[in-house]
Amino acid sequence: MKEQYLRQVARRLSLSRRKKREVLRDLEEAFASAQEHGETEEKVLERLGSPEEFCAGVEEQLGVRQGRGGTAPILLTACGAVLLGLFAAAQAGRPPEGAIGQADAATTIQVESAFPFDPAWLLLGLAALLLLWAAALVLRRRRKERGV
Amino acid sequence: MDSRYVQQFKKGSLEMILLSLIARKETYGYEIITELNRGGADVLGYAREGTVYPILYRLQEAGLLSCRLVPSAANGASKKYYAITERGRSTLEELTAFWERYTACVDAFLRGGEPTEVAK
Repeated sequence: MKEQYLRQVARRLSLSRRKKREVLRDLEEAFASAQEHGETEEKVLERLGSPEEFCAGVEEQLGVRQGRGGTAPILLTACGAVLLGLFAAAQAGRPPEGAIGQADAATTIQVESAFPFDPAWLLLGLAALLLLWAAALVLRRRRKERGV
Repeated sequence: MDSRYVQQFKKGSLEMILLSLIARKETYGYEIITELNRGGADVLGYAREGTVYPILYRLQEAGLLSCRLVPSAANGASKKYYAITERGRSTLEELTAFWERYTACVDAFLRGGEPTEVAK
């Protein structure tokens, strides 16, 4: 029973390897101490709750973010924004696709385009939006950390 | 099941209570749980490892408690003994002082009178 419980907690607990090891050691100690004091294993298991309950409780107390989180989404968004921004900047300098040659002066040729504006600006706008999104994620994370 | 308000309230005082217990003498997890349940299970609710141990970790990471592993003679297992640090003692003093002013103030409000000016 005890071995099974420890195994289940080991499997479910989502903490750093060091913290996980500490929690499991403490759990073993709890069982051993209970035995020393003549308390039954059942009583201890009752007090600990199910492995799910125990893990959830420990994680909540230690402030582990439930569900989505971590650095990954922020990093990816920021990288995406930077790449888009660079791409857009590179595009803005280039002459449009299919240009036969560059004129030295203004021409009267009107190019029909699907967009009423330069797509490079659209990409730049998108990059800016992504950067704002990344910033919002960072702020949200900071606020959550303060709340813990 | 306690209302959410009572739960939150209890959480706040548990850290102070743990510090005061450990300030008395160096002790280990099981002993702490037993003491808690002996002293106040009917008011504070049944103390469980799942709730108490993480608070002990937090207090230790904050430098208010120190711990050491003592190997257990019998089966090669170990026991973790918690002791209060200097910072822990001063924090406990601060908390205790605040608690006394706090209870005096809240009592006054609940009694419906003017809150007395508590000496700072």
